[in-house]
Amino acid sequence: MSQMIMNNTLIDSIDVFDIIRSIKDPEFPNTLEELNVVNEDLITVDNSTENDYCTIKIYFTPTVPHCHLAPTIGLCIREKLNLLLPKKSKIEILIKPGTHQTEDTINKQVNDKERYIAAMENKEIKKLVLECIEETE
Amino acid sequence: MPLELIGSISDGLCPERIWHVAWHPSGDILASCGNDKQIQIWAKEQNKWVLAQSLEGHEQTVRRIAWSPNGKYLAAASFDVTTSIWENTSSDPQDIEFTHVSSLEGHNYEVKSVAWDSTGTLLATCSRDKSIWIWEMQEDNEFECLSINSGHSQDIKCVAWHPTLELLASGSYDDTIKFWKDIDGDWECLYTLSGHTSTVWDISFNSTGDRLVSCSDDRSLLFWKYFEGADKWKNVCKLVDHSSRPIFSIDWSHLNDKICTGSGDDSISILEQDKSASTADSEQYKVTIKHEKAHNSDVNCTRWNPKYPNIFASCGDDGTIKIWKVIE
Amino acid sequence: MSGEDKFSSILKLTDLDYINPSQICIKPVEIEKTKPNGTSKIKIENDGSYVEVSEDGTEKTLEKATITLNDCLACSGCITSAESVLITAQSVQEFLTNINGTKTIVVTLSPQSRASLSNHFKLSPISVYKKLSTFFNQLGINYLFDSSFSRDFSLLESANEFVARYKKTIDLPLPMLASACPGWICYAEKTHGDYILPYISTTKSPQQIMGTLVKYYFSEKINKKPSDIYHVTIMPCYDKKLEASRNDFYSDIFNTKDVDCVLSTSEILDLFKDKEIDFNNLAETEIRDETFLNYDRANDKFIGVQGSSGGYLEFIYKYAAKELFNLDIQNKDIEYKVGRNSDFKETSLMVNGEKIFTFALAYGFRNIQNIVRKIKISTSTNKHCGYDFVEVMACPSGCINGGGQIKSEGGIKDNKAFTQDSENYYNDQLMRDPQNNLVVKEIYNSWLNGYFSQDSNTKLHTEYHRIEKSTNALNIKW
Repeated sequence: MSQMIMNNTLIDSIDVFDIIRSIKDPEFPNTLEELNVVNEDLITVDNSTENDYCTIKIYFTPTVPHCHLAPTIGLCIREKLNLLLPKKSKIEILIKPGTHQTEDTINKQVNDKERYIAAMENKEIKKLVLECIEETE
Repeated sequence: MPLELIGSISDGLCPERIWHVAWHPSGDILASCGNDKQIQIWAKEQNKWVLAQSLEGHEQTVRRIAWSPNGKYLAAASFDVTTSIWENTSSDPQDIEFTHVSSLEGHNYEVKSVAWDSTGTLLATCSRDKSIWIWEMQEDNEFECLSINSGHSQDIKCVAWHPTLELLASGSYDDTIKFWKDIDGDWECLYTLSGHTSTVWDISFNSTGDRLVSCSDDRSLLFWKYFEGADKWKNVCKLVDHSSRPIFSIDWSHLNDKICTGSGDDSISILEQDKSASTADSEQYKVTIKHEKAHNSDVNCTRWNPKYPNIFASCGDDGTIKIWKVIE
Repeated sequence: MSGEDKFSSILKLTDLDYINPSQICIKPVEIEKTKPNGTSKIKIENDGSYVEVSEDGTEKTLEKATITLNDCLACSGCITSAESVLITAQSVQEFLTNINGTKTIVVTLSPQSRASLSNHFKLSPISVYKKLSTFFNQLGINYLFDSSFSRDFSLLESANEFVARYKKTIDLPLPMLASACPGWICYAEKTHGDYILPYISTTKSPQQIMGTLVKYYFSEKINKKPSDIYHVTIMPCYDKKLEASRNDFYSDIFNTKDVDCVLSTSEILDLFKDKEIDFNNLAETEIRDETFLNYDRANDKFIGVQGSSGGYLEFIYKYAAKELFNLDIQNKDIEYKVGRNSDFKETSLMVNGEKIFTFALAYGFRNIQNIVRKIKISTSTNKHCGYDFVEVMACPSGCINGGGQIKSEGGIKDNKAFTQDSENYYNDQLMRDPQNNLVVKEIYNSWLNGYFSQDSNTKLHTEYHRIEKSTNALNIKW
């Protein structure tokens, strides 16, 4: 169960994994953890910058090498983190190298601020993403 | 401190994320826009910035706004795929009263940028649909589409007109910058500038229009110079790893040639040409100020005041607008 | 060689660029979920098929998701012009496969394609036709028709439809917008479907009228079933392939399309290369059978109308002036006012100093935008938009410059001059008013019961359908 992390706590990769592990896959009735799409080992958190932000890097593994919903999974991961992390962190979400046919294309799209913000303004996409990140129990 | 904060607009007056700020040609009025779907117009009252008018109507984020050269019109590009045109219909020339006069439709996806040419008769808009539309303002505030330019292979992020010529530059997610010109009634792509290794977020001409600077997702700044003899734009200076994160905004002052940039690492930088290190073919530019933590989040836009030198405005994902002064 | 840049720019900008459906087409496929819980793995076999391995080890080969061209047309979320789907279904290879069967093969050549071949080989249109006859005879093709013939029907029906709209004897508004260009139609259905469709003429294009004539009139003459004829058209653009695939042009009863395959002019060049044909040195077969040709035997020339995109503006203008005001107008009497660019012009009929009606020509996306914008404003303000008829074509310079025409060897720079040359070859013809086409007259009498009659409305007119944007989040490209 994810909770709002307190403001003055430093975040680590376990905290990040705790938030994203229960995200539901848009296609299959399983969580990203169950499908091995996200893994604690593939998350790094860097608190060392002089600025007030921390940098989070998440690699994820799409279920199949041509999975067309990879960008949407990236969107779900970012949305949930934005909701539950206490202050703005710089989040980079990338495909685990070698696990997707068009990983460079998807990496660019998933990390383009204008693109993912515009995507979340689309009613249908927003609805789908919110369903995937909804906490059920 | 070489960069002084001389004004600030925040605390509940602004939306969560402010994408763009634009100075009225008089230098005394500032417009801003963001994810609250509105355009805010700010004026100075005694020493404070107050909200003069709020323009509503867009159904999604307003991404960019642009004043016409005479300040009478304001154009706004929105993610709702339309571009709105507003006219100051106040009888009192000192007053602000903008009315919606036209809606430019046609783009298939989000409109990312809008810009007026130096004469105020042409308007360019660009979109994720990979096209640039050139519009001409007619009497009775109607607009005629002059051209639909294809050429970029991806989303187009920004458009900027040359300061004097009828020449348009565009920056794209396809990592290139293209120049467009009307040749016998058909707009064609004259030059394509490659050099960035990722999305070009913003571009800016200098005051004489023979230099262009671009900033990118690849964290670098590229300076371009027009060589008349060869009729080519060439890269004359690269500042790579200028930032640790994408650089979203860049503006070249037409008053004193200084350059300001806003970055995803929350910092604002001021740059100038290093004349001592420059030659005919290779120019050097250096960072004279790097101001960290300028905002509490990504800096989305930095724009020089057109009338008062060394003053510029910035805005960001922290929902604030800041006015700065460069202390010499 | 990809056909990616061959569709009209209006289609390319309408909803997405070219996507290979096997990679990104995301038409949702229904999967039966037999197990609500538990994980299964999916492995990819060497032959590329997908096999689902459930927890207990049982394997099930998953069905390949296929899409048909109709899926593509109906779905606006992905593409209208799935390049690889279309190119495969209507390619030179498909053509060659199908002509080896038992069906009767009919090929219809458009005058624009003919002019393009003329310009490329530097031969007269008559020579092009006669050499093509020789080539097609060698391939076992039985008939080579000319869509200038079916265009006469399209012009007559359009003109009569305009007069009916003007007189308000039918409940459809003005301005009437030409309907022969499928790039324009697709764009209108997908982008402005909520208000523009009633303005579009219901008359079928020359390609589709020929389709109807071939499968339902000509078939009877040669004692064949509609499905026993394989009808191929040679057209100046790829958008015509889309048009031929519309559901409206498919008969459930006879299980056959009006037009089975569309080849572009440049694909015919590929066909020549494939068969190692030296076209210039082919013998010419004399024209014996004039069926569905607009041919003048005495002068050994083809017959047509002014205007390489079909001449809708001129013909309807003259026809309406006569029918409505008893005025005899010649082409030379029509004075144009050219707009911002050469692809936009307008002309008004003046009677006693009064403007009676205004016709315009709008080619290319930017000019179409302005027309559509004017109509939208007039629809909402209830004011006349300034035009009564607009000849709308998606391509700058019209059909002679279609995306499937043979391009100049010199590249884009020479294109304008090259297109003008094609235009000159196009005009190497005799002019004849469609009303004076005796064969057309005969068919109107025997088969259609008159201009714009109930029968001609059934056979020579069509409908348009608004295409909704996809609301499936899995399909939306961001």
